[in-house]
Order: sequence, then C-alpha cells, then structure tokens
Amino acid sequence: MTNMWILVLGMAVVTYLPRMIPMVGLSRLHLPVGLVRFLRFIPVAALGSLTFPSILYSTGNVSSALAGTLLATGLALARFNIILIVLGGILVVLLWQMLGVHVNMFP
Amino acid sequence: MNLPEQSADQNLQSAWKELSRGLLTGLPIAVGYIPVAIAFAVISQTRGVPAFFIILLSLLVFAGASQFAAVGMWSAGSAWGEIVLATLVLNLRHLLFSASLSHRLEKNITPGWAALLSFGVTDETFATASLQPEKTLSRYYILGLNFLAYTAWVGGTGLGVLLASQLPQIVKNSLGIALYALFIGLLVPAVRESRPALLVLFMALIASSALFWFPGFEAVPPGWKVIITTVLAAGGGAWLFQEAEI
Repeated sequence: MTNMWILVLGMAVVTYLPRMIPMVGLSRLHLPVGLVRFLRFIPVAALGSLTFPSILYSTGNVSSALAGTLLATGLALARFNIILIVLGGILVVLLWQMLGVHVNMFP
Repeated sequence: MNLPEQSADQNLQSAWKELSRGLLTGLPIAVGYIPVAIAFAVISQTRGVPAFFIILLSLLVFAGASQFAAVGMWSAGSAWGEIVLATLVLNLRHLLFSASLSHRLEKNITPGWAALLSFGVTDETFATASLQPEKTLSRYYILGLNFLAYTAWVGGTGLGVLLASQLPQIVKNSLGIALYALFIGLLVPAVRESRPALLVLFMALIASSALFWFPGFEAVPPGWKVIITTVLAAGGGAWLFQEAEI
C-alpha cells in the first residue's frame, strides 16, 4: 500500500511539472518570432502524430477502426458538430463489430 | 481587458461569458473522456488495482495514456521507479503543449493562475484551446474548458469503478475510438483554411507513420515518438513558411 502511494504521488509530480514549468515560465516573456511560428504549428503537428497510426489500433481490430476513421473524417469534412463526430465514430465501430460478431456466429 | 472605463461589472460579465464558452467547447472532450475513463477504471479493476487508487490516479495525475501505461506496467510487476520514469517520458510532450499554449494566454496572467491552468493541460484540452480562432485566450475560457474535462475524467473513472466488468467487450472496443474521432474533428477545420497547417499535418503523418512502421524504431517509447514527430513537423513548418500569417 505504501508503494502504491509513492507510485501515484510520483506520477502526479512528473506529470504536473512538464505542464506547469513552461506555462508559468514563458507566459510573461516576449518570444522571438521564429519560435512563435514553431509554437503555433505544434497543435496540428502533435495532433496528427497522436492520431495516426494509433487510431487504427484503438478498437481491437483494424477494419472497424478504419470504418470509424473514415466516417469521422467524412463527418468533419461535411462540417458536422464535433460531438456528432465523436458519437458517430463510436457508433459505426460498435455496429461494425456487431456485424462482425454476427458473421462469425454463422460462418 | 483592464481598460479604465470598463466597470468591475463588465469584467465579471466577460469572465462569465468566457467561462461558459470554455464549458461549452469542453463538452466534446467530456463526451470523449467519460467512456475512456470508464474503460480505464474497468481495466484497472480487472488488473487488481484497489478502487481507491484508481480514483486517486485520475484525481492527481489526470493523464489518460500514462494511467493506462502505469496500470499495465504495475500488473506486469514493474517497480514504482520504472513506472514513474515511463510516465515522465510519456508526459514530456506536455512541455511543448504548455509552451505553445502559454504564448496564447492573455499577457497579464499571474504565476498562480498559470500554475492552476497548467494542471489541466492534456492532449485534448490543449488541442481544443489552441485551435480556437482567437489569438488571445482568456484565463476563464481555459478554466471552464479544463474544469469540464477534469470533471468528466474523474467522474467517468468513478462510474467505471461502479460499473466494473458489466460492460460487454464490443462496447469497450468501440469506446476506444472516441478520443481519436475528437482529434479528427479538431484537425479537419484547422487545416481546411490554412495551406501551411495542412502541409505541417502531412509532415507529421509521414514522420509518425515512419516511426511506427519502419524497422528499428520499436524501442522508441510512444511518448518520444510524439515529441520527435511534433518537433520535426512544426520545425519544418516554421522553416518553410517564414512569411506565412498563421
């Protein structure tokens, strides 16, 4: 139990420090324009990296994940509300897997 | 915002407006977080983590990927030092996110506020906040956004502890895509109007796929892959588009 406390508190510290130090340290500084441009591109770069290819392995099988990816992208391109994009992605993966289970039950 | 002719009343009004705007744009994150938090709690319980510590992890750490990784390592018998080190590596990307976000915060922010707001920096809150069209983000906006995301994460964890293993596997599987669908919903509008942003996205996708599928990179921890890809693509963008208005 003591080790569990040390683990959780240790994790809390090493998670908080990387979040806190730049926010407190940089928010009042005036940064050079090249660095600002770099920081501006970080969201798109990081999101792309976080999403792909991990999304293909997020549901336990690649085909249902691909169906979810394509539907979510389609809904986003069609300017749907982001909540509908999230729910639509979940729903199509669920339906896809139910269909898969059905097919497997009656080979 | 602190113009002399503005009354305290108007300041309060704009704070409320920003706070509720934060809560509203945090709603999709909450929709994504609750199922994932439920899954986290269910998986942790099946691996034998006591309910109290499952909730404490979500309360104090508030970082999904690290929490999943920690429970996996813990049940595989890793020592606490190894798990804490892995957590640090996995979360170093937040250095980049916080640095990027700090630049968008209103300028007169106090260190106390910055320290409070930084606790809520996650992949999802960062993405949502930083892809808002406004150049400057109000502290109340970030507060509302982070608060809803945090509440959903902790609440979903509690719900998962209660539900335990009653969820069927295919439901758990389909919840796995929730956060990625959120990312797609944030990315598409961000790159639709900006050619430089679209090119940065392509560079990131290529670098990320290379690190994932090319042989020789298996030993690179996932947290480092995100850091390397982000620095390469954002750095490439900054170098290529020196004149771009972004």
